[in-house]
Amino acid sequence: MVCFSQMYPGKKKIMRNVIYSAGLLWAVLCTLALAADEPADYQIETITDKLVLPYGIVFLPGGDMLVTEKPGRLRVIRAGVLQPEPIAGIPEVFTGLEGENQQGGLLDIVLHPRFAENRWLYLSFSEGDDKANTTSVIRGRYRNGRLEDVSKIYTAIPDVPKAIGYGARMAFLPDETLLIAFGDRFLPREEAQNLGSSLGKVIRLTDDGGIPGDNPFVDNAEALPEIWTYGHRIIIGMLYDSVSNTVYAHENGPKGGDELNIIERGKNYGWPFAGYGLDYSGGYISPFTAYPGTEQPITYWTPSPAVAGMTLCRGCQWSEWEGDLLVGALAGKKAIRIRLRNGAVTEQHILFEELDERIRDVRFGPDGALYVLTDNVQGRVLKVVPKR
Amino acid sequence: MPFAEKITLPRVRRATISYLAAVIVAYVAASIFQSLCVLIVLEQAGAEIPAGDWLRTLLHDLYGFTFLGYAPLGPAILAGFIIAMPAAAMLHRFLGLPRGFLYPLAGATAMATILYIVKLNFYGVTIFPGTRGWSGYGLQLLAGAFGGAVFAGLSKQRP
Repeated sequence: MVCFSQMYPGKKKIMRNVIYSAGLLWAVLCTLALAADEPADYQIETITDKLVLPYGIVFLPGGDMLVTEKPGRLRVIRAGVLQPEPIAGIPEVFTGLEGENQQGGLLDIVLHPRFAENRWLYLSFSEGDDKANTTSVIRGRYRNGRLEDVSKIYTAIPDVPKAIGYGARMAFLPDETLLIAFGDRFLPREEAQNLGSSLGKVIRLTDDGGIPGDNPFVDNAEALPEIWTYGHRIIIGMLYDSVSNTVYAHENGPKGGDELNIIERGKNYGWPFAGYGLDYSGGYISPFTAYPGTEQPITYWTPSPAVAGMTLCRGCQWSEWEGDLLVGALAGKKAIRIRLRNGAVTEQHILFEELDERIRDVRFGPDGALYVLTDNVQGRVLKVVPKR
Repeated sequence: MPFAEKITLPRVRRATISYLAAVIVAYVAASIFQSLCVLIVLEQAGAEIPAGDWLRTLLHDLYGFTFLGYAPLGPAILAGFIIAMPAAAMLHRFLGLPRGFLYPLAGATAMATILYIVKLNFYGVTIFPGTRGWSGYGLQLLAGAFGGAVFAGLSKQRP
């Protein structure tokens, strides 16, 4: 039998070089792939797997956790156990789509900065019906296992005949004013540039729903005085960092172009005049990735992981993560740890891909552990701590 | 003439060329109308878009609507017209209605059906923003009608 090297004596060296090169390339690719993933320096415990589409979580003094469920329930987790009865006093919500496609319902929850003293908590939710629905915010005092003194402090305008694109994340500033993000509700997306509309905006209110006198558009007769920033698509993660005095918010792009932004008073974040994604149709939303007078993100993601939820490590259980942001991802089924230096993103690392779960929210708890909400009709609250 | 004797190579070739031309015309028209609607609305909202960026958008979208979207428009029109044109031919044969009416109507109907099916699969909303509002939607139907008219003209049997 004649072997290859006998038939083609000069080719043996070439074959060897090809094999060595392929092996080297493979090694390089593997190294690059591993560098992007976080080593599994954590262990995960399931606190509960009995939630339906959890959206937001807060931690009460005394150790209880409150979790919103999109179908319209506010649940208590006490000593690591989900309490069977939801909290009473929650308004009726509009859920719209069914099952895992549901985007509306009971959405975000935040505590007043002086919750321990005044017991105020704030809930965002969708209300209305298929023909006309919107996003509203209520506040109520959480006492004796129920919500009391409930009042609506804001309703976004206009109503929309669709059940998608709510956003509705909230964050308090140190002056006890409240930022609320409203999604563009997926067409008409130009509403994000219309200062007479709440859609595609971050608004700022006093803690009782009033308009702060130092909002950027209070003297603009054609603008809603509550608007803080505009030109957003759908913000599903927003937080205030007291150390850097910075508001971070991320928003979903359509097909590509999820963004992370620093939110600053009065600024225009460009949607839909500029963006890094395409429309779901494959066409341009705009021919521009940057537009004069609009802000650029500090980072963006294409393809879209559908970022959702955000938290910041300040004294968390991973000392090496100090100052890093963590965001969850729905379509991407992972979390992303983002290292920031002087307001710029310097590194990103992937976590929790092994869960293969849509991640709706991530929050560091008072104990420094990371709590993760999975977006599932059998939703989970996971507690993540460093591997011992 | 028996039906089988009508299936000649020249007829098949003419029908195929007519069909492909109709699909291309409908797709190009639909793509251009969609892009124009998006750009017009952006300008109405306050964006200033130079002429070069208008052209760049039109050219990008011709590619993007078929190769980059979640509901590829080109293949959808291919599929829609492969049903719509023969359906129009049957109506012409059995009802005697004019070709110049039936084929454009069939093309428009194909476009309407495509847009409806896409909407059903995307939470009840259209992913083609150029079709929101009756004018944008009407332009998409017009694109389908253009394709149907091309098919009517090219497929007509010469004496």
